[in-house]
Amino acid sequence: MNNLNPCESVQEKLSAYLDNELTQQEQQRMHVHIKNCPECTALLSELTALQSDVKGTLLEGIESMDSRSLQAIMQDKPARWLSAFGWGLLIIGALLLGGFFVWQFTTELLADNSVPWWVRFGILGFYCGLFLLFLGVLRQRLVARKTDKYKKVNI
Amino acid sequence: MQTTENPYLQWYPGALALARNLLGCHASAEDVLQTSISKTLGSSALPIDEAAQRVWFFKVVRNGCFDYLRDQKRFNADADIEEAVGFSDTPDLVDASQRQQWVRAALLTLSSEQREIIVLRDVNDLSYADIAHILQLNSGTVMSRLHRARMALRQALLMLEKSHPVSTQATSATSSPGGTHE
Repeated sequence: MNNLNPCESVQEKLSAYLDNELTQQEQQRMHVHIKNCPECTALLSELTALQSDVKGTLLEGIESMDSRSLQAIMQDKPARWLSAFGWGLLIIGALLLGGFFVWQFTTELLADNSVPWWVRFGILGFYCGLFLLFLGVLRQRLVARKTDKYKKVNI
Repeated sequence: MQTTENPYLQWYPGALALARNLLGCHASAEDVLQTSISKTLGSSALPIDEAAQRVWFFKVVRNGCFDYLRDQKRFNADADIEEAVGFSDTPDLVDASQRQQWVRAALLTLSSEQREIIVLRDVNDLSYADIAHILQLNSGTVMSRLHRARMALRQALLMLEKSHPVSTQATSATSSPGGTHE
């Protein structure tokens, strides 16, 4: 027979009840006791209010001080849009310039009759080979990036 | 390009609250947090599961705070920490309500162990199992330590309210209990 005040044993678990960390059976037992005990009900209400006060106080303190936090800087929408637009322009420009130089080089090389044909095709083959090797490495990198399990933690 | 998917950013405010409560200095807390993010990104032992990543991140932040304090040779006792850093770097209290100022003042009366467990649970909503993992305790100890910490905080708040009886009524409306718990 337990002669202790039932509130004493209940109040020890009041925080866990508030946080929903008890087993279903314990949670139910606590619920029944609290329903019938004004003292524990009042304490639970106080702890509930205290919990939200602590959260509000500590997070508001940080948010008001932290307008230039890493989070705010990284999630700045205009900067992200500008970055995406810049990358788009850069890629389009590189493709146009690259295409232009490749076209000029190929037409000039093929039209130049002062060099033997096998030298011209050798030069062309050399550059085509380099380009294909680059494409191969690029593909490998893209596949590796797609299956990279750590890619979500890139900053 | 993947900044929105970076999981650490969603935990940044809570982790900063933890670091600030352990270090008592906003700038140092930010430094520790930046270092912790770098460490976690560079680590090869990063958990894949997001929940585990969260626990791991808080563990790294907490250890980073202790390393910082150890470097500063201020980790001898709670009193030494609070005296050394003075908790002078509190935010501008002009905009904070009276209740928030009291909560802040009451938190400072707690030990760093009690403050960190309250921040982990009430600010970051971590489960007892996660807190136990971060603090390297068992769940039962987390339960009792958290309850003691909350009761100590409540007691400190009651003392503050008793010492400022005039303004109690004005602030009680902002902190009125939200009814019974279901």
